[in-house]
Amino acid sequence: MVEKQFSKDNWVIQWVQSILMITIFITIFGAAISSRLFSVIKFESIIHEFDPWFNFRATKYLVENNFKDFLNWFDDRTWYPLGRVTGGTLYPGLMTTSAAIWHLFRKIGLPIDIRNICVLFAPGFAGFTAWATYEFTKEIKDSRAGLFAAAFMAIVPGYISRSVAGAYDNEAIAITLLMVTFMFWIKAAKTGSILYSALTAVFYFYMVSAWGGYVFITNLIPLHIFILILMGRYNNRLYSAYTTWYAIGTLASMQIPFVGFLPIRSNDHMAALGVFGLIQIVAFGNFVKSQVSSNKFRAIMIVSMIIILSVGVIGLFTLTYFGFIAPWTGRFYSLWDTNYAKIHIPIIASVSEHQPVAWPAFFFDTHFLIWLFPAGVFLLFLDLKDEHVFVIAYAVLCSYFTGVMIRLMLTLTPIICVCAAVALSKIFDIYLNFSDDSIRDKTTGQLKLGTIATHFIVSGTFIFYLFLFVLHCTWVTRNAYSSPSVVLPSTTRSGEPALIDDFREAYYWLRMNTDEDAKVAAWWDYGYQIGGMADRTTLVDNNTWNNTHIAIVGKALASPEEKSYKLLKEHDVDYVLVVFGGLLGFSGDDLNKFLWMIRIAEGIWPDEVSEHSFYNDNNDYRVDSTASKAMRESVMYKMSFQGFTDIMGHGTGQDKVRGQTLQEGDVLPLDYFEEAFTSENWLVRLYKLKDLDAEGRDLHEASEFERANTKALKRKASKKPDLDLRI
Amino acid sequence: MKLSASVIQYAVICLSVLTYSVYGLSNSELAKLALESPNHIIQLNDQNKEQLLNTQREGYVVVLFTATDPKVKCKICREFESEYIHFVKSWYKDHPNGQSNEDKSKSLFFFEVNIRNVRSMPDLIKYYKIEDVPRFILFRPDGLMDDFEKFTIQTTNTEVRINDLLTKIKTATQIYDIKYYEPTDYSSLLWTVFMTFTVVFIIKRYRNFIYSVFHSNVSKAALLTSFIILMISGYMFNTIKNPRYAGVNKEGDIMYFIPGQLQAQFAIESQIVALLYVSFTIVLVTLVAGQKPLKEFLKGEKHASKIITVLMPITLSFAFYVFVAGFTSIYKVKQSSYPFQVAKLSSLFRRK
Amino acid sequence: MLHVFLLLLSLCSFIQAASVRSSKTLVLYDERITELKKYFKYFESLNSRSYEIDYLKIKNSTSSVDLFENEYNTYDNLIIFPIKGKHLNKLVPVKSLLKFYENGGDILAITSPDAVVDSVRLFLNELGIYPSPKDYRLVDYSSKSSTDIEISTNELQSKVVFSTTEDKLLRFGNAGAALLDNREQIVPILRAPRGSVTVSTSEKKKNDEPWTVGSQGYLASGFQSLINARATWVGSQDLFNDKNSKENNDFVQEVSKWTFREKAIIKSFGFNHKHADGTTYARTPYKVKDDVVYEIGLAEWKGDKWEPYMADDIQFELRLVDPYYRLTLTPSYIKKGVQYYTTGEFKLPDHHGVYTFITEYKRNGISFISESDVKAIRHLANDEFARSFEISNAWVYITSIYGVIISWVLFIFLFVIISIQKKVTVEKKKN
Repeated sequence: MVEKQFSKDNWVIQWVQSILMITIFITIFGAAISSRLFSVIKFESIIHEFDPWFNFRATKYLVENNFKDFLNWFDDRTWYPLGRVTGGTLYPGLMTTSAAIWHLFRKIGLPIDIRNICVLFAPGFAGFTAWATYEFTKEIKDSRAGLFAAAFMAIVPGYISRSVAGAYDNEAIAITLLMVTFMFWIKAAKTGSILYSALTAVFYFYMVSAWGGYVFITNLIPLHIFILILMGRYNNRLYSAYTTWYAIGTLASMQIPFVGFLPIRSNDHMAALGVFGLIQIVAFGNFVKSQVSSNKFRAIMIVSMIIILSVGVIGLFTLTYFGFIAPWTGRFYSLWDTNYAKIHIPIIASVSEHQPVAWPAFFFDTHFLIWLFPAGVFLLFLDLKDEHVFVIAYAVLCSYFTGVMIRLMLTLTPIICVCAAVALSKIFDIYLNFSDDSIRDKTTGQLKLGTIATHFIVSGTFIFYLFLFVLHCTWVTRNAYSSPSVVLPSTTRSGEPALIDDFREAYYWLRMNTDEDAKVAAWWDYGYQIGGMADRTTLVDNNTWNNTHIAIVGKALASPEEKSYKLLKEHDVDYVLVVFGGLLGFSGDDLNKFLWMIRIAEGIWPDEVSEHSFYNDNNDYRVDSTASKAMRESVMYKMSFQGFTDIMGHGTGQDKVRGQTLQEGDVLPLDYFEEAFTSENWLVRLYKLKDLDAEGRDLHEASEFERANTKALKRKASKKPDLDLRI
Repeated sequence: MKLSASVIQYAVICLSVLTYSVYGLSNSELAKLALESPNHIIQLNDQNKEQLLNTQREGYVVVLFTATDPKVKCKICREFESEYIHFVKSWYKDHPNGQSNEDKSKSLFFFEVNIRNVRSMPDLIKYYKIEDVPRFILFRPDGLMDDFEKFTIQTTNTEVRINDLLTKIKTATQIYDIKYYEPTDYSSLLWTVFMTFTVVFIIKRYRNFIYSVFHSNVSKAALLTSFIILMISGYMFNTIKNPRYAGVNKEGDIMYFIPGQLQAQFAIESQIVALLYVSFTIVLVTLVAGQKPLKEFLKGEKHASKIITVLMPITLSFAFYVFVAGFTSIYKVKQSSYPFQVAKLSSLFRRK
Repeated sequence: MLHVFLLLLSLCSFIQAASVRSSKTLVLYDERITELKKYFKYFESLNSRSYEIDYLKIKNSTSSVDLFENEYNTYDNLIIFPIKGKHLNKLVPVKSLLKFYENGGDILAITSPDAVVDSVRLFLNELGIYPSPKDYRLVDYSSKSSTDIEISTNELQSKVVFSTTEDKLLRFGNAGAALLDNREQIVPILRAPRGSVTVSTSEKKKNDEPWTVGSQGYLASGFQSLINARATWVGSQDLFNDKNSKENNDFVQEVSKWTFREKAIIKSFGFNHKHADGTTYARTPYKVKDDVVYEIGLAEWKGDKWEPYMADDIQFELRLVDPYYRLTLTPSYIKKGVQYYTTGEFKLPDHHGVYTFITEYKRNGISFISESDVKAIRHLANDEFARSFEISNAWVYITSIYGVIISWVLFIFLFVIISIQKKVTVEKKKN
């Protein structure tokens, strides 16, 4: 109706609309990118955290070599001495994309340093995510809701948390691809277009190449289809969309070396295969239905359903039993059985990202969107078109997963934005509607003043919340999500802001002062950083593929010196790096992670390492005089606190993290290691393994000899030695 | 009645204790004493400690030091009291005279010291240097007052407590035929039966209504939305991490929120926040989709259209604002540096 | 120019010297027990092998012994004759003696029952040699004179240090004996006879437990540290005395030669590993199951030049924490006085990783050799596997794939044809 009315001025309206749209999109892009630049402004243009350092290193390798070398890259500088078949065990999407961008810029005469591309990668893609969210939401409701969703997506902290400048991680590109894939999927499911479903498959492939979280798509799309079939909404559009996507997508995903045959062997992917089978049967059933009478059809259907179900279930069990289908991967399993990880895979449970979420995190990450989110889902349910089923399934599944594992907040955020945008735009549809048929009395044509006032009040309050939302997002982004966690913000005594740069100081020391082939043992958290910043060989890193190897490092740190030295020597280790926050009050230090190291080591060697022995008699985890014997003797303890009681000058040391005071003599001397470097704030401490004693004594004896005075030595020597019989 | 009965009981006990004190306590005498005591647990106090403890005994004696009085605020003591009673009951059920069936030479009796008033502690507490309750002391046969062995039990939950007590007593006394019979909880059984019956009845009665509810989109939407609300209000945190229900601050007041902690919560926080989410949802849904049903409902009313188009939206948006203010002030507790608090609701309530 | 000259000069002295390195030697002695002229023959023989010897009398007025200059040793060798009193403990404390040794200096320590200085004894204790303390002396009840010790060459322990075919007696005279611990670096040289015992001569300790009993004790023992520095202890200075020269000379000479690295010195002249076809690692890094060859060149010092070192027990190991291979090397060729040993062609394991190519040759008395190299062995690249059509098992699958493709094309073709016909009929009807 409205359009007809303006048919004469149609082109003007369209022009104004397009210009408005373009302006809005430019603004959204600008907001998305600029809010992510806080980290560069507050700190510097630096790669953040841990995993990004590996991605950055891999990207550099890709840029320096060619794609084939990258694909077959055997990295001999990590996981020493096993090495890592890196090319076959990573998701190459991120690196190839940034390498492609790098090459593109060079082709057009803009040679940009690869580091800058990597740093600014995530903000750039955030803009595209916003656009994809717009297209997605447009399919769900209309372009008004779409614009809201895009704007939300651009600045919502839940997404910014993983995509600030410098956060060069798989998620930086994966969320964009996730939204693009879903957008095409909705279009495909709505229209049944083979083109759209092929595009879905292409972007699905891209997603598979970029992030392990692709399994979410692999399960969500079949779930969508499955629910629609159960609701009796099967049609040929769904058939062509799903089969096209599944066939192309699966074949394509198998081209990624790391994925390989998983799509037909792992239980994580079985749902998609099952639905693929089911939809064939349903299609056939539909065909039969059109041919025979409904009574006969019902009988046929029931019998065949029972047969198919039983065959399928039995088949799945036997295949799993005989090992043809891999059981669920640990991380996936821990989503369902929440205690599984704690008991079976401490390495998963030890990661803070895998902890359940307390309620404030939702508000912190999405502000008022979380209030609108349930209402949005509810309102969509009232309409319940095919595509709404998808959104609802997404929302329900993902809110469960996020509740279990905090890192999945990232995947929940887009759907929160979409649902909130739907809810908000529905409110504005009613209360921001100042067109004549809403505010004028239909019969008399008089202005309804009450209604106008109401509209102003209601929409005004919501605009106020929108305003608050922007403030909140900016505040959160600036204060919480912009720290590179390589450089830590702090304040000096006089209250001026200062940066704590101990990590880089220590890594740089390693790079400049140690042999190029030196092997550094550190807890796996620092593996990528040591590889990326110090360029030294590490034993374990953040790609935690080999639990045993991690347990070796855990055992070495938890054991007494002699045992630890032997173990480390076996692995040719030259330096040991520990992170100690006791002086500074940095709570993420190794002593606080120590129990996990012990647990992981205990999982492999229950006879040699026992968590219990690290608690004192009162069952407390202490580091002061009341620490247990095993604790006191452990290499981790000795290395962390070596010399700690001397720095204050009065023989005691105050551990600011654990709030305990160490007395002189609590920390036993190190015999097998010598301190090589300690950073300014003692955050990073490096120890060198001493050489074997040239005279064949064990190093404890040798150090005792060095420490002893002549008198003590004489006393010892005056007695006849008690020796074993010489053979 | 009850009072006089207990007075008589005490009198009997004291009398018998006085008589026995001269000779030492034989098993049968102790057993008699136990059977006369409430719940077969002999109450130990400063008056009878000499007679009961400082004499030659033939059996083992386990003494529980506890404080069940609510003023003492020992939650575990209160929880454990009933378990201890059942534990002792179980022992006397199998061994009416306190004598082990396997090894007739050994017997076991249970005493209790209950701290009623913190201000005037019994001397026993000081004498045995009890620093925390619940705590146990075991006296061996033929020993006097100073021949004892202190032990504690793990206090995680009922099962752990009982098992720990069982193993500790078994290893200390070498009496192995101790068993714990779970008390059967008839109330929950009755409750289940009753609920099942009611539910079945209601379903049968209102079949059609339930059928329509089951098939309506609104109910399904409400179900799924509630699930989502449950998830985003930290329910999974509660099931996985098992936090305390609520806390107590230094002044002893009850705290509903862990202050300054974004990564932790009490169980009750989930409930409060979920309630707020539900309110948000109801307000929003009514704002958007409430006009039509309301119109149906108010058909024929005089001011129907005013109520629908003016009163309802304004009230709801005001309610929404109040909820927002509530939510942000709760959040302010969790993150004290949070700057965007809408209104200080708490200040309204505090002003008295 | 000057530099070159100096270099030449040092080279000349190198060639003349009998030791593998220069032989600046310091002799510490105590006039009260040791008259240097009685040891003329011994020092003369050292001089004849171009040893530069400084003599330093240790008496109470000696102010310092300069063992170090800027943390480096000032001498290559140190000979310590028995010294009385405690003054030496201050001049050369045990820690500086150990430091001298750890810096690579060789030490010949001689003690005598009446003069066992503490710093020397403590130093030897750190090596696992426990000489009898002062006033303990070896008494041999089985021989003619129980105090004037003569020991048969049958008691010699190390063929590397000294071996002789003739059966004669070494004259030790007044001697002490030592206990040795189980360390593998100890090179026992001469064992005490069965019927001997080391007992205290002082009245006070007469009834103490004997220090050594029978063949438990040793009269001379060597030690080689991990950096190939050598130390030798001899329990009697009479052994070096000119009057005993006739019987002892050979033994004394050989012990000195061993101690000061004139003999039993072998050296690696480099190792090398490459693909079996000769391409180096730098050109083509190894991958699993490659054929490679490893070789190492060893030579022995023969007093004036390096000569090929022959042995059949040299082993090469390929390690990834634990050894994957342990191959005995076989001699292949001699080049410039160096014997090269090779593994021959061998196949790398079918397991990728970072491997250590290592040859460790540690034999008692001979200088230790350890050569290692860490190299990565990569996995097969994506195009290095056998192609599908080369595997006969895969033919079934290949056939089925192409079967499906062809039948699909056929199906489409037929489908199109049939539907066209239908369309035509429909149109006709409409018309």
